[in-house]
Amino acid sequence: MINNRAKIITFTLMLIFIASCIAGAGENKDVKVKVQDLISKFPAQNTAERDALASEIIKLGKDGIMEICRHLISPGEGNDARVRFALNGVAVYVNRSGAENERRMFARTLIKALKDVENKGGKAFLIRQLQIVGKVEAVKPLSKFLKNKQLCEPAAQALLAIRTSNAEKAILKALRSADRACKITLIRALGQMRSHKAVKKIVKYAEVKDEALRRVTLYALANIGDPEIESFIDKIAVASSSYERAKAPSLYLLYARRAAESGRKQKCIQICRALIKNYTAPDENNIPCAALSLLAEVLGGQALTDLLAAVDSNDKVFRTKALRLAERQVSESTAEKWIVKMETVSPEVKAEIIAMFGRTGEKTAFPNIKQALKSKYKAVRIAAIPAYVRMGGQDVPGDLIPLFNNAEIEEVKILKEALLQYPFKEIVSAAADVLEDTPPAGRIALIEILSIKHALEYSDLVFAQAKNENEDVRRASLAGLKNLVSACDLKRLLNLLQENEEGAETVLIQNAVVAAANCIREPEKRADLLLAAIDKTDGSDRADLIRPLARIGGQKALLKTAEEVNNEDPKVQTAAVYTIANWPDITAANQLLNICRTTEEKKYLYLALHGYIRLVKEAELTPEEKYAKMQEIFSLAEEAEEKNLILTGLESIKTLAAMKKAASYLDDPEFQDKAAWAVVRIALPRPGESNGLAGIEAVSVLKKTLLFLKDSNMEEQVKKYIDKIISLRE
Amino acid sequence: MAEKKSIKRRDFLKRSLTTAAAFTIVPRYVLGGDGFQAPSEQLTKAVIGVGNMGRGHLNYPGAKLLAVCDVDEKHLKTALKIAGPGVKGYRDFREVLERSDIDIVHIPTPPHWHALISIAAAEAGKDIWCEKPMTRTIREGQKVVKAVQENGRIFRINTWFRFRDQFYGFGTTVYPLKKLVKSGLLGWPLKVTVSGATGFNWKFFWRGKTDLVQESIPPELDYDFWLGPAPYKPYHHHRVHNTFRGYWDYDGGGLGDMGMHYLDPVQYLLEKDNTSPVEIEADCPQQHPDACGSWRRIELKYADGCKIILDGEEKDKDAPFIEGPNGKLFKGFKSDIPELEKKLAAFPEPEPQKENFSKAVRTRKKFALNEENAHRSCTIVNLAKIAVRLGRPLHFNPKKQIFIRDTEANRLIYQPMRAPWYL
Repeated sequence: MINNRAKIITFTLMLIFIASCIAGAGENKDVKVKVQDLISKFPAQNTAERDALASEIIKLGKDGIMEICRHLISPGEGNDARVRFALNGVAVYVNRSGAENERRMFARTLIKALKDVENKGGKAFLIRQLQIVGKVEAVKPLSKFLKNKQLCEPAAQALLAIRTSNAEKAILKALRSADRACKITLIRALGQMRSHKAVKKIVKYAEVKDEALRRVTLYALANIGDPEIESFIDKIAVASSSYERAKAPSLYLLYARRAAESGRKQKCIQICRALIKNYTAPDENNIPCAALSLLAEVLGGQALTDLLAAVDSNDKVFRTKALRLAERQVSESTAEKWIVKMETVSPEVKAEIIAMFGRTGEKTAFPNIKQALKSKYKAVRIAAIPAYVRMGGQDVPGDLIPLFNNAEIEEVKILKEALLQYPFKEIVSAAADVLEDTPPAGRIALIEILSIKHALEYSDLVFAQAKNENEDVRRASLAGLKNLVSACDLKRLLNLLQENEEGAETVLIQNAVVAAANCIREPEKRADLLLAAIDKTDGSDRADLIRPLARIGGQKALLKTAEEVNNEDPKVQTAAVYTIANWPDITAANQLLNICRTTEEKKYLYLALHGYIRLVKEAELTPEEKYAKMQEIFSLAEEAEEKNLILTGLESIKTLAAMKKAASYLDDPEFQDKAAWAVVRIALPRPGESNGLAGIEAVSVLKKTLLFLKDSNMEEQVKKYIDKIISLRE
Repeated sequence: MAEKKSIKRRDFLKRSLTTAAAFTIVPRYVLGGDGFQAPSEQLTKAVIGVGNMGRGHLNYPGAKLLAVCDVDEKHLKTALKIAGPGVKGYRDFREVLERSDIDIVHIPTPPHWHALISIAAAEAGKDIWCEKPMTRTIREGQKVVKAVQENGRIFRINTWFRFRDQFYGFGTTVYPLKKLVKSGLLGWPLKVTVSGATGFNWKFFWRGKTDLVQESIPPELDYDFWLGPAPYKPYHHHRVHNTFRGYWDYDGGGLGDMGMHYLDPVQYLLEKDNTSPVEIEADCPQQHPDACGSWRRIELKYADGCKIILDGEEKDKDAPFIEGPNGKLFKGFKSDIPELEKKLAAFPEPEPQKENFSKAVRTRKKFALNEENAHRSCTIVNLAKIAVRLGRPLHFNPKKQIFIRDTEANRLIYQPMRAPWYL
């Protein structure tokens, strides 16, 4: 009876087991299908989608995540990008706040997967995910890889990210029997963890022959900052490579920093001062600089004595460092010490101290800086100007402007820059008041100030200087007029233009003419005075009056310029062609076309083609309209440079016709590069465009173009684009 | 100086031990191979990393080229050919730094090397001209700032739009923009919107690949040294030269490559050279853990309400623009404020910037774009990168330079280096 009952129970249990196995297999199958489906949805198109997918994966639990991990393969053995997107997406998702349970479950599953996934690439990927999500639970499992040549590095980095005392213990334990490559990784990690427990275990590597091992050990020892290691760092100078010797002071300073952090401030100070004392050559001035930086950091305000002493150095780099450090701690009381120091040093150093005051804006030194403006030493004066400005005060412009009287060229520039930092009202009238009595160098600067400030009320003053005998003053005033004129100045500007015979000055006056003409409200009236003047002149004067029209525009001006293309004087002709070629809008297209068709001068043809193509490119026309305009000039381009212009013009027209026209140049070796580039520019979408040219003809032209592309990146982009067009058709 | 040179090592050690207890490190000019030389007027330089970007640095003016260095034999040979006679080639940058006759070190390597070499150069007493982006992580940037400042070095980053050339897409230099912002005519706080279409196509370039099949390492390349502090990943040519920017291990896609060019001038305009954004949010597809992908929009907000918008989808058709409570400034210095230029003339000019690196080296004055402000503008890039990688809003403490209560984001502030390299 009992036996029968036992048999029945056993049989029933077997049935339950089989049923559960079948159900489990079903569930497994279900999980596999779900996983496949989820993986196929990666990468997500946005964060919400990514998080939703990650949430689905989390719902599948350990089994689902394990199943995903099983799809990882070694790099090069296939494409598991979607799997990596999925796992990394979950790693990011579970790190959100309030999701500790999900994070732990995910981390534990990754750990489990580390056993299952065979390939090293896959394992390394999982370890990198643990670097993102791993905490205490990951320490032990990660420690198993610390002696593995390929996985030691990612495992150590993950443990560094976790950074618990157990992580430290795990690394220490692995160090015992790790090979040389892993040792380097582990020692570096212990150094970064500042593991005092590591000192005794790694100190023996500080003197080994293996340079890489020795170097990383010395770094680790210095970063840990244990007093025991001082003698080892000390020996670098004797036993090491020249690179290590050069690095030794940095290691020493790192050790000194750690000493200060652990309460051994005097040791740190001692090391810093010793380095400052011993390293005095210019090619190693970075070392005392670094030592002084640390000293100032550790001593704070008490470093003043060291800083004051440092500016007695002959080394400018070291002095600069000292003053940069000093500026961080300048106060009324320290400023007084620096003021005293300033009077005991050379003019060069005095200038450096003044510059330091300027950077801080500490007002205690204001009277001294003001006095320094009139120093007999140029270096001091030059340093004092910007410092004085920075310290501020209402009287600054009034104090600076008289300095133009005796300023040398270099000072003039600095004075001008300094004054321009003041608002209009504070400097313009003061500058105008002294302008006529200031020597040329200063006067030029004052004219420039009036111009930059658009001081229209002083335009007469600047006009007067336009006839100055001094060429530099004259040119400065002519250059400045463009900001100082209005419509009512046009007449006197035209007179000035006609009286002038200097080519360089002509351009300056033309700029002012354009500025004045463009002040007239009605566009069609802007050129009236010029047009009237043109008829009264000839030769160069006439040409000089025509050229500004390109920047003024208007229908009357255009017709007059077109008429001048037929002037008998070649100078006037050239000016007229140049002017139309630079016309501001598409209204000049017909005139340019006419020049292209009728001129016998090659240079005029080139200028007109260039201008025409520019206008078509800039015009608000449809691509088809632009191409129709371009067609007008195809037959006119005969020379290589003219054909190049055509290709440049086609580049901006996104039509199949333009593309085919550009491609027609591919067979000519002289134009292959440019034509290929033009075809690609026409066909492919530009930034901000979603579509380029499509269709079978476009593909055919692009395929031909591929033969002529020399840039592999471009080639790749074109191939991708061709594939895209073809896939869209399919 | 001759007297110093003649000191024998043993004598020096003995003297040091008696004069400065527990300190016996020998100065370089006593033990150094090349000996100590007085600095001449002619500045000298070495270029470390002479691939495509690095070759451009060979001819930058201001200093005489003495050495080039690369872990790729082909690059090295090409650079030496361009450089001409008198220039020595190296494979290990540490040997370059040992040379006492080199004043300036150019670092146009891939960004995962920038911090290590910058710090080593500072500790070797060199001034530094580093390529953008300054560093790959925020912590690396902090370390560079510290090393440069402690060692009294002059540092510049290789972007220049805050002081020269037209600011991408704005159709003007930064100078008048700075003057406008300082004038207060636009009001405060300001919002600056920049976009890819306004200049270089920075969003679309430099995407990484996720299906790389391991290749054999070309014999001319020391791949292990090329990787240096970056995690070891099997070699594929797409990971290295020209296309490395598509991988987080070495850079940060187009954002890493071009971000500083765009964002440094904005930081300067907004007067944020000594701080960083406090809120960062990115709208983007999920990022692969290895390969950089694309993004749509990134918004960074400062504590005072100023905002930077990176419009990757060209949603703001008028971008770039600067917008304040009182007005807006568009491309070409066009504004909805009437007679802006005339109004602006009455205001003070911005403080001049020191834009001559050689002069900065000689006078020991900070360069316009130095370690401090460059680190802050690179931090904008690095914050944006982290926001893109994590795909969620972030809160940053600009003073401590850490994320607020966000362990995962903080783990991206400092990514450990592969041994034997360390910061």
